Amino acid sequence: MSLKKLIQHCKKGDRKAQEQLYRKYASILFGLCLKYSRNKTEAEDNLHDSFLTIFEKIDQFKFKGSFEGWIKRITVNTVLQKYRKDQYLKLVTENTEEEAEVDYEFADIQLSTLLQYVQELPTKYRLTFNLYVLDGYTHKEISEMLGTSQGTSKSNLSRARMILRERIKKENINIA
Amino acid sequence: MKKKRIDKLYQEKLKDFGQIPDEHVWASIASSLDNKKKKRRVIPIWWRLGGVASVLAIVLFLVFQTGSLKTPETILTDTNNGPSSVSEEVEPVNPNDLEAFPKINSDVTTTTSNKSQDITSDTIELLNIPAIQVASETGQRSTNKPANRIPGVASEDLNSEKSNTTVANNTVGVSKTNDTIEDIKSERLIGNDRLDTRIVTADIQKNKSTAEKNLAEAAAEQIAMDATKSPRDLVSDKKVIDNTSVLVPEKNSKKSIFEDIPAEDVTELSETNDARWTIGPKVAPVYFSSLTQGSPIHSSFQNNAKSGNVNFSYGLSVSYNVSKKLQLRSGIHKVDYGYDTNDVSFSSSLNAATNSLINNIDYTLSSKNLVVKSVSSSAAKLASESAMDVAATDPSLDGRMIQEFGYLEVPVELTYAVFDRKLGLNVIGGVSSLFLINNSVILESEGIATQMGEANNINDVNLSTNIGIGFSYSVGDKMIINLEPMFKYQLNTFSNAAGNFRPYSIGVYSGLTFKF
Repeated sequence: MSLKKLIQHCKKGDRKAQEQLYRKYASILFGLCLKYSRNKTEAEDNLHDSFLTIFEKIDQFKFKGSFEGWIKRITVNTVLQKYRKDQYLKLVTENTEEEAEVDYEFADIQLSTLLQYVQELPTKYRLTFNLYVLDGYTHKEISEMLGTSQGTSKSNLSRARMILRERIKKENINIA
Repeated sequence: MKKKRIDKLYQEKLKDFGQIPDEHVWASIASSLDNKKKKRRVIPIWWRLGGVASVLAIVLFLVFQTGSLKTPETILTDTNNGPSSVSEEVEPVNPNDLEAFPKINSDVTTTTSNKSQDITSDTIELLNIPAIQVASETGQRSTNKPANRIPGVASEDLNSEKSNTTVANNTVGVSKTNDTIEDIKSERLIGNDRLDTRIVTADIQKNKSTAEKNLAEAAAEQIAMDATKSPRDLVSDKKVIDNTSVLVPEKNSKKSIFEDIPAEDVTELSETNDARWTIGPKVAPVYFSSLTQGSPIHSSFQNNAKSGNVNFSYGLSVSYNVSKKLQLRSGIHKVDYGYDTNDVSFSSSLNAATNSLINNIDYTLSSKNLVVKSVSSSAAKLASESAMDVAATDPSLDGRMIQEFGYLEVPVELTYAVFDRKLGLNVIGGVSSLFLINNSVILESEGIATQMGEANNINDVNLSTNIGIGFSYSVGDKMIINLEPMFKYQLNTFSNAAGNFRPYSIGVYSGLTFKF
């Protein structure tokens, strides 16, 4: 079944089509959820909520633009909506951009480790890092999405990078 | 540069990172979608119910309207006996029978005068309008009605009224032009003149605050006086009236007739329409079963023992008294039905073949591996298998399959009151629309139940024909206690049932209804 037909069937509420669509995109969206969430359980919750939103709003998809892009945006928004409720997203702008940087080589760090580091970032840093670095949003967009200022967004990104760098550095030392 | 390295590292490793989630995530999504679907399904049901309710409302409105149109006819006959008898008596008169007219006219006079008094007292009682106003109005009416009726005998009189000339002038003309019927016309003139005089009297009296009830009596006396006068005198009297320019405000007086009648009608209607509506809650234990041996689930269960379950129905009933004996009623009830298929065995199979699944059931994800069979058929199979492997233990569980489904029921029923006293007996008949809201098939064994799925052969909307007997007991003026054993035969519950499954339900509905 072509994607268009699949979507059309989903619009009619066809359960089999919904399952097929889920199977097709679950991996990508679950990866996205894992990056934006604190752990696997939370990611599963977010994936669940995202797919419900997708099936609920699939009527609104008018085949303009990429469907994958559309469902990714829904997933990111679903996750953000969840974390937006957490008050700690709002941070006072801190200028921590230029930290002393230790030169080191990246060892062959496992993907799961990198994922774990991102997941362990405080929510505000994790979301900003994901949005900016992995999903290509600008600070302006991020500030709008998270309801913060651009300065805060930059600061959060910087903090995130710093924390990740530290974690990787430690990992390198351990490996060495 | 260094910060870019972190970004680059993550972008390389995590940008298109994907991972297949565990299977339970889809199960959870599917279950949430099911719940949403069920919730969503409620909306169209309410739309349909709304449709049914509005159709019902329109029907009731029409019935009500028809009733209200009929009622005034009787009221008119009752309250306006005088004038209607006048018309009945006067209309058959033709020029050949004119000799009879004087007598008729005197009858009219008597009736009218009597009636004017009756109406006066009736109207005071009914409308509670100040006595003065009522008296003056009834005075006018009692005079005007004959004035309108009598000219019907000679068309010229009617025309003269329409052209706003005075009654007196016109009647004079008539008496001059036709000598042969002079006597009769003079009698008519007596009538007209008498009436006009009374109208004038009424107009004058209108402004007075003295005992107006005497007006009718005075009018009656005046009529008696007029009756003794010769036509000539009447003509001269008439002229006097004309000369003094005391003209009858005919339009106003005509209006007063039409204004009066509806006023009485409304009063009568408000009395007769009392307590036409009743509303009240109802609850009933309902037993669901089938008239035949078939199975709603699968043909393999046709010969299994089956038993109906007793569930509950509850809801709100609204009824409208079409007549004293006949009542139209509807309402909305939530009703659950349950039906057990006994002696089934089920086991879990890793590779449950699709042909072992029951077509009429949409299995839940967790129950797709269940193989459900009739005990008799599985016993035969087991016997052949155990012959090959004596050591094999039977992995299957014996139990029963419980099918449950719930509806929103909207009945439209007529009840006919056989006895309509404090203790009443009614015969009830009608149909119900049933809207499916709950549907599940459960397997139960030794007290443990598992959700198997839901039947896909139950129609979303089906009908039942209802018949029953109702016992009612009035408690005071406004409340009735009801007890109604009902038999409901389901018409199209299943779209694909095996063995001619013919379901029915029996319920004993009890409730209170309140009149308003």
